[in-house]
Amino acid sequence: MAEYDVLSEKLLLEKIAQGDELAFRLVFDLYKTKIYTFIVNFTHSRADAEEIVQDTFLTLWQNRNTLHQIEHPRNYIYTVVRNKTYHYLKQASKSQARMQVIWANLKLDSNETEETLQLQESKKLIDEALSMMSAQKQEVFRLSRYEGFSHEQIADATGLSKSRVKNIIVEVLKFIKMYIAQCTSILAIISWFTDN
Amino acid sequence: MEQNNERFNYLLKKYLDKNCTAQEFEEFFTYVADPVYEEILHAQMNHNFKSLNPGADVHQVDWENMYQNVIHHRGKTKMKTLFGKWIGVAASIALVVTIGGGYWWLKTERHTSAVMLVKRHDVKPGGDKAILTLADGSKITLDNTVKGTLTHQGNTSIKQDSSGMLVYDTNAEPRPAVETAYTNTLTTPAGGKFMLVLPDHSKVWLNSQSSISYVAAFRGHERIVELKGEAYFEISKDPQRPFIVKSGRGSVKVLGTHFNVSAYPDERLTEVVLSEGSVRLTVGAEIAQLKPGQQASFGKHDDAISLKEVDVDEAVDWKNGYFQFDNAEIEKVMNKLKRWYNIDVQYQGIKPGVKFTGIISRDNNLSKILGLLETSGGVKFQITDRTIIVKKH
Repeated sequence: MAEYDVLSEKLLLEKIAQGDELAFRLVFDLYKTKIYTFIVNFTHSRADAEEIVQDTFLTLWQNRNTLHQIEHPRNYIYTVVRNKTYHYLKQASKSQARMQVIWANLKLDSNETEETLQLQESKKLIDEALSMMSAQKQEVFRLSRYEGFSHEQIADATGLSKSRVKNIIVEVLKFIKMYIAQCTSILAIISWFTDN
Repeated sequence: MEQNNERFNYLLKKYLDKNCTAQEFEEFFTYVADPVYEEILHAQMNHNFKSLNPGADVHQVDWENMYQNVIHHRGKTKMKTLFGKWIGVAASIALVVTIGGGYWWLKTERHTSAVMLVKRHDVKPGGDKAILTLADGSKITLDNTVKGTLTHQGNTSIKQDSSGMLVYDTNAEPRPAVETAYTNTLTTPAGGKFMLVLPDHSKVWLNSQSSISYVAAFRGHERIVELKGEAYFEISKDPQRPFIVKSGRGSVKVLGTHFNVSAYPDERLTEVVLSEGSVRLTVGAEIAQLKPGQQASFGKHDDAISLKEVDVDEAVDWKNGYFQFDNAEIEKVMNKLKRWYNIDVQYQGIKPGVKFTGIISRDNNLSKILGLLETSGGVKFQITDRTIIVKKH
């Protein structure tokens, strides 16, 4: 992003307040990558980062008539993002399931290719892992693994972007792998305890 | 807890760098949960934002899709919950075990049902099919293969354009003093759908087993169409000539707007759902003015109109190529399937009380959809010929 030009950005926001879509598009393009990276930094989830970015711009657009006379556009936009991200972290801190999902994203090697999931893996464990994720992620995964939908088809059916679909599947697989690995070692230890 | 900013900053840095231990990870989140640290977390976030550089992964994001979602007000991407049954299950937490640095809650008491996809005789989905009846009674069969000008009605030419839509094109010439009214009717069979552009450029999506009648060139002070079945309208603005959809005893009057009318003879109620703009519904002596997001429904025997807020996407799912259900009863689901797949439905024994929620493309074969519905539990299907038998499970 080029040097922050307060004056021209203030003008853009004024125009957006009047419903100027082109001005909004400009602001969208100006801020999208920085916001996205910021959220990925704090959430470690590309899929969720996409959702929050979209949410941010949606909030801005829906409340555009309050954008008159914003003195510091960058601070204003950033604050919306920051609050949503903070909320995300706060919600996670109250839920073991969410924290575990973030943990899986944080710990496992981030490779772009989808990891293969052995079919022999206990279906029970897979289901358990899945039940800890959001309904949305479960559905995407289900459409991919059990319905055989391509990323494009899933994107079509759900209205999510292709990039988000892909990231969701990568993240779900990571989580399942980690969950199974951990459960397997837990069970090994428990049986050791009971046998001895 | 005494404020320990140093410790928090240390944990945050480890968290951001992705090299914290499991204990540090858990500890970090206990700080996040503590409102005392809100301010310092905010400060760190501010600092991070100011000094960051966008990562390489930004190029993989589908920005165009996102922008379109935003500009069209598509909010929290509404992912409906699935037909299968992984979620919404009570879990009791049995143990916490620490192994080599990992904290995990061991959950017991799972209740999962297998996702069963039952293979059966397959029924193909519907497609673009309709019959156009002209003023003189002659009929033209339409599908998506015929292109170009089909015929004329007075000064209006009727074409099928490259996307398969039926388009009425009135010449720009001033209307003659005495004009013949050419009434046309577009009818779709079960398993059919069609899209039509009326002489005033209004767009109509016609669902299965429906028919719409109109004149080839609108005259007078009103644009009137008659509907049986279901259609979605995008009416072009013309304040001088309100657009009126007549259906049974109801009459929907609009100036320029997007809405859906569902008036199937075999359904108890006629429903009008408004997507954008404003419409006025008249049923006998009763009148109701609708706002976007509202649905008005009325029955066959009296004039009472009831209004409620609905999910517009669910009401208009068919137009976008999907079946969408939100806590829908079996009858509602089966009626939608019946029309698109051109099949009969019979209920054996008690009607299943299970409700369905989900989205699935209309391009699927029937077996896929039924298989999915069965995974919700509580219902079993059997196909014989073109009849589905529905049983409580």
